Amino acid sequence: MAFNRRGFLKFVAGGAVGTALTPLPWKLIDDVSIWTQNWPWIPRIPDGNVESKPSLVKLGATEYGILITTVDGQPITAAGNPNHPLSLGGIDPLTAASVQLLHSPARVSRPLHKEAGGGFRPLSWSKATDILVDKLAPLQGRQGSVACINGDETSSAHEIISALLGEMHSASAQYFMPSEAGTQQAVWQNLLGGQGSLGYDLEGADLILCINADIFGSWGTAIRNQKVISQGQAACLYAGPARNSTAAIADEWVPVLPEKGAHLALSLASLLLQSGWRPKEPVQGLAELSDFLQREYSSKAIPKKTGLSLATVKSLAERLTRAERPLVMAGSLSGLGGDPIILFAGLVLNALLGRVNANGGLRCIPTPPKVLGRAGSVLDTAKNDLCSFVSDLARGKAHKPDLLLVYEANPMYALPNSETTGAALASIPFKISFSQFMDETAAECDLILPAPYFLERLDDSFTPFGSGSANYSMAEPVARPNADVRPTPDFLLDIMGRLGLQTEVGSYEELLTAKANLLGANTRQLLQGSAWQDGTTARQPPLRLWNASIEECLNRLASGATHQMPLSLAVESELKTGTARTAIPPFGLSTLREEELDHNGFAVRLNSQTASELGLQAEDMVELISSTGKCSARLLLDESVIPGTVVVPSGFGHTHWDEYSRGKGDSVFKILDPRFEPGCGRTMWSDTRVKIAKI
Amino acid sequence: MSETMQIHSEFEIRWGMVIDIDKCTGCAACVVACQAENNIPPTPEPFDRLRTVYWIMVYELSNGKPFPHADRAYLPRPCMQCGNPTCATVCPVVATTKDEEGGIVSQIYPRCIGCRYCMAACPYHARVFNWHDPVWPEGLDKTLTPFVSVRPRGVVEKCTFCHHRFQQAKEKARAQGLNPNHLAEDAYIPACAEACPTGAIVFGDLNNPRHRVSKLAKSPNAFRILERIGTEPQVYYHSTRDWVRLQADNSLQREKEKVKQS
Repeated sequence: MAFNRRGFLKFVAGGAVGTALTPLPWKLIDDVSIWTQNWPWIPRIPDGNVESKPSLVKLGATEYGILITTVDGQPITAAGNPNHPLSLGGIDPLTAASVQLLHSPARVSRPLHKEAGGGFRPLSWSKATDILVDKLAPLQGRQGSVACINGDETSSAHEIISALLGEMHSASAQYFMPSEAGTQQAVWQNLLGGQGSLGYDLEGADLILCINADIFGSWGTAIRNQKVISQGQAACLYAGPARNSTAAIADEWVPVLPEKGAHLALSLASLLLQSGWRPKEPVQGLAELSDFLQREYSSKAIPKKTGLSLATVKSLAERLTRAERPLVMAGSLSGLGGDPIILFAGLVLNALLGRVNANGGLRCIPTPPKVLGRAGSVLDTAKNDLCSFVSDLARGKAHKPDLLLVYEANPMYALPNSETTGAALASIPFKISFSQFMDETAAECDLILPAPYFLERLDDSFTPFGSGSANYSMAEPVARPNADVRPTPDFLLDIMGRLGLQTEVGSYEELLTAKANLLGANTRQLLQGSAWQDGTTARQPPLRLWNASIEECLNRLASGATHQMPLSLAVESELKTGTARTAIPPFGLSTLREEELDHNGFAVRLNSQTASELGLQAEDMVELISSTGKCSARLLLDESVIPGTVVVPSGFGHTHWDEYSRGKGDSVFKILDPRFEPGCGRTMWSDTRVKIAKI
Repeated sequence: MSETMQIHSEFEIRWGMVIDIDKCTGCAACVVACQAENNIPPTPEPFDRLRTVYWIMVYELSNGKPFPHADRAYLPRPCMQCGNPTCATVCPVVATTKDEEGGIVSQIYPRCIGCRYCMAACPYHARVFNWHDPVWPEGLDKTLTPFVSVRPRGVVEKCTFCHHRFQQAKEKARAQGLNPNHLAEDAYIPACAEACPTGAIVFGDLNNPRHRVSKLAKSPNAFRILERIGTEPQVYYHSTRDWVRLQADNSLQREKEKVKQS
């Protein structure tokens, strides 16, 4: 049969019909699409046993119980723990991103020793132990020769560090990183004569007035704060310089310059007293305080002091007096201490309102028990002022320790005036960092002894700052260590043994079990994710509202200061950009909007009126200059910032860590201007002023 | 509109969200929870839009007024799971459909040919295209979840209301001898709603009167974005602030003024 034209057309037509009717081409297209999406370099998802395990987040911000989902023991995601009183099922962005930090490229995978050239050389734990013992042995008995900066004020590791320093005759040389808890403790006990530590009983309040404190952002128990207040049982008012997380959902925002928050609290106190309001509970020095307030915060003076109309302040005062259970939460904008005056003013206002040890008010939480007899009280350590110590060190006025231990802290990055204070710390001859990450401080240390990440270790937390009552949480590891790490408390116990110092417990686990027993807590239940709670309050003798120190504080505040710089600095601390201890996590970086961070750097926010007065426009590259340093940024105009203030987010400007945080923006800590406030006995930097220049 | 109603009536269950904008602090816990749960790769360059993938974004809204009358709000935006999904009608390979009980708009990655018609059609910018293969730095890939496959370059992806959680909830219900088509409230919640610390994101069956969302969606202060184009989103928002509700539609300026006056 000849293959003619007709035959050819038949063949083509038959082929086309046959191809269309067979599944082959469709199957091939489908397979091709699958094959082209299964390249070997695309990660494969795991397959295994999925479990949920309780843990306790410890990243330098609020601590609470969480649930970690694991696949064959490998943590993959974090979620809030509904059974934990400080989570109530909620979670913050940093904690939600915490599992990925377990595998951060910045993890220190083994002990490292700094070489003469500045690089690090890996070494074994036994060798590292020998080095540390050799360094510590000659320092025994030499007072103040060893110091420690501790970034974890709720953990029982404090007791072991305290016992070690005590045995080394350096008992008072443990310092917590600057925090709201430490500053409040100093004010509460030293100025007001308060007992124990302070809690905020949000659950019982019907009106909450926040002054500067960003209670939904990073201040206190931020997740519990959000969970409780979003239930709508209490009205929430926010007074502060910008619409931050708290102002975003508060019932009302009252714009106040950062440095005028304390004036607002004292103005409210003055109006209360003027209206004949007297506290139900006895207080000391009320007459003197009343005289001072009448003199300095008269109705005529209040608008000038606060920048608000008298009617606005009166309205706030009336709302406080009309409420059955008002609660004032005043604190620093950053939630990192630095404003003892506003803490004091807030406590005074609460005291006048009769809210101390009251339902829905402030609660005097008894001093936590300690297991080690040789350890100091955690509340006493909280009163030690690290900033003063470092400042004195920089000026040669403090005794320089021979050896510095840094535990769970990154002071080279997060201390105010970080460049100068960092240099002061760098001058200490031998420094040891117990960091999980190659942070700014670890990079400057002589020895890095990596501690387990919080998901890899047994640890505890006693009553994080801002809690409503005493609580205790504990968590065991949910993951095998991802690096050659050793739990720092156990390591320090070994060191004490090697030095022949007395150790009262054999292990950290033994200490935590003993602490749980002291509290009457069930260890098994704690490890299952619940928390021990105790609503007992410490008996509070009449608070001192007036003494020489308070007078000095208030006179200095009332006299005001003449400013060389035109702008107030408002530090904004959001957990998606990390904490003073933890850098921006990989998933945290992804949450930043383009206006917050771009190729040109991070954004600082200024009101358009202020920008116009300064000759600036949106998107200008600017330099913020304080008396301590400079910080460069991109300018964003924001009408929800009070005129005369520049809002600068924290968490940017890391020089170490990993590619997710290193070189992203600039650090606000460089421009914080710390000064010692003698009345309060504490360093403050909340009144930092800056000028701004176009680059 | 009658066609829209017909589409809704096809489903006995209609999963939906009501997001209370007045409760949102813009913290972005929802964004992080979504990324971790759904194997979205982290990027060290978040401002490089060719390398960033989002299933939920938090937009910042402003009322545009000067200080002190300026107001700000945050709007989390997942996929709206539209009742009339414009993305599904343009997809040439049926990679995205709305054909499963529950009304979740699917995205079938192996079928996707990367034409991005769906992206052009989506009025909510809820879809993203993988211009590059996903990259997890060494070690970070250990945190991949077993719930969602990793998407390669060349395909479009979007929020699925954590569809795997829906499947898990149904399996759990079957194992317990319960009806998987009548899940209890909170038996199935996407990762973003679970993470939200203020409870701003409420999730449930819009057709089930026992679920909170069915009541919240009927609130006079509830609204949907671009409602008048008829996509019938299953994501509702809630705000008592007029200016927030007005921004939900890209009305002409004069129309807004008319609404304000009324």
